[in-house]
Amino acid sequence: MPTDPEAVSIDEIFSMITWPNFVSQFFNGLASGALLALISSGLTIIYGTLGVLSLAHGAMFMLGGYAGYVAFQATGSFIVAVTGGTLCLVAVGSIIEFIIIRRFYNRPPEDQLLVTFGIGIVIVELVRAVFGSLSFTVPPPAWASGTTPMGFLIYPTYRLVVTGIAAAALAVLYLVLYRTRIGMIVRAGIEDSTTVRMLGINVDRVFMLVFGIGAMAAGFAGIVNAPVVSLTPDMGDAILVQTFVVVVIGGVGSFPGAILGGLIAGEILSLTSMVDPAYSEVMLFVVMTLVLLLRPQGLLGLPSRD
Amino acid sequence: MEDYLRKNADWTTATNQVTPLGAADYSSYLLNVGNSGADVLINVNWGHDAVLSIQQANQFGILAKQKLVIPFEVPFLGREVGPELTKGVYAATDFSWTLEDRFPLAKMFVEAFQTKYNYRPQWGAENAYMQFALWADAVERAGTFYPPAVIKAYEAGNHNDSLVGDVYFRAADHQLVRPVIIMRGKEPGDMKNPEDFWEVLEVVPGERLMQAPDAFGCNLGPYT
Repeated sequence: MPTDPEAVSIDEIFSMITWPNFVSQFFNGLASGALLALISSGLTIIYGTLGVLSLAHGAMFMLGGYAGYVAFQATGSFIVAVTGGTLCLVAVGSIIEFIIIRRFYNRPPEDQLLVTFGIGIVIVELVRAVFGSLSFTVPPPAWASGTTPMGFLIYPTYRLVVTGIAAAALAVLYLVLYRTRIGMIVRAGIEDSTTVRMLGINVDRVFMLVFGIGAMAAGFAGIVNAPVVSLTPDMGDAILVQTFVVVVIGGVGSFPGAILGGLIAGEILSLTSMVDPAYSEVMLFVVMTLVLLLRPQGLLGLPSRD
Repeated sequence: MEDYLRKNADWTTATNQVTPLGAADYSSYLLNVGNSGADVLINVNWGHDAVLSIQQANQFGILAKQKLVIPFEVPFLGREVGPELTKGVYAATDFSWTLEDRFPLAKMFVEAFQTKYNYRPQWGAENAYMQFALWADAVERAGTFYPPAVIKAYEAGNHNDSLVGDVYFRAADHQLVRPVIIMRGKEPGDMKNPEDFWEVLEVVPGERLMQAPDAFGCNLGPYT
């Protein structure tokens, strides 16, 4: 009787749960969670302000990577790649809002989901038409390549840099949203766009900027993450699903929720893989289901306003 | 394979990481691999999963400690991960363009393909071409397109010359008995052109490699 090659024995399950591996996985969960948090923050800013759940968010992540790749190929500079790609995504996001999204604010959520889903497909297929389906790689900057021994584990240096960059970007986003005039207008716009308009503020322009910033968060993450992964046109699909879970766990529309959700998701993926990797992504959905059952507004979300 | 290696090569499996299909990141699985103390990393991932997991294994410094083996090469793998990562790696595949030195049909195919598409064919193209040719042969022998008749023509077990030498279909489970190509990644300096990633070490005849027809409980059912 042949044994099932995928059956995992109890011994095998516990063989990976050792202190060094636990500490490694815990650290890795935080590192990968920081990136997820950054991408998810874009999704949640857009939803919180505009009420649109953008299913094109994964495509923005992918587009950021490709924009960075093009800028890197043209200049050979990583800094230029990140800056150029980021600005490109603000522009793309703003243009998409100006041409399409703003016509959907007063339409039912299904229409908004469908149109953003469609935008995502168009962007992915355009990239495929231009670049083909084979993957591209962006090398990490020379000063951040190689590995860093950290006592209990050896970790790729560039991933440490990405974690730092993601944390810094989240801090900047937080400051913009909570400590600046534009952030105040955005948050006021979320609460009551009519009154904000009556105060003489151009809400349309602010909303366009918000969609641009949301797209930028995903695109920026796409560029800084490019040396970690290899770029393919459909790389945003898996990320979109994960950011969705992050936002639901953290609380839809809540910026701190996106950060908490991102870190939790990173830990779920990492720690589950220690027990049985095949279930790491399944576990993400199990936790999401539990959150939806026990606290439907998410961990840091407020109960629905309307 | 595990049983065979255990019996013949004193093999023990340190950890078996069954990862989700299309994973966006392999870091946590690779940490398990890196912490397992294994000497060899057998990577059976497919498509972009294979590309990403190999690249990230390198980022985690695993390929410097563990010898990578690829039981079934993904088309365009060399081009996507680069020769620095494939050099010295043993891989099995269905076809490599360098087989043009061994088989006249392969030479004809590679030349025609390259003229038309401007790159050398990978095994996906070879499989498509060969399967179509074998089907045409079966239809011709059956003298009809009627599927049961064509199936019986396949089952007759006719030997055909192919891009990789002699092949035939096995009647018991309709599997194609064909050689498997074993190759090793070339050093970047030894590559004669930008697609010359692999050196063919051996063309292993298919008979010895086949599972017994009933190994997976194959039941072909009636013809109609």
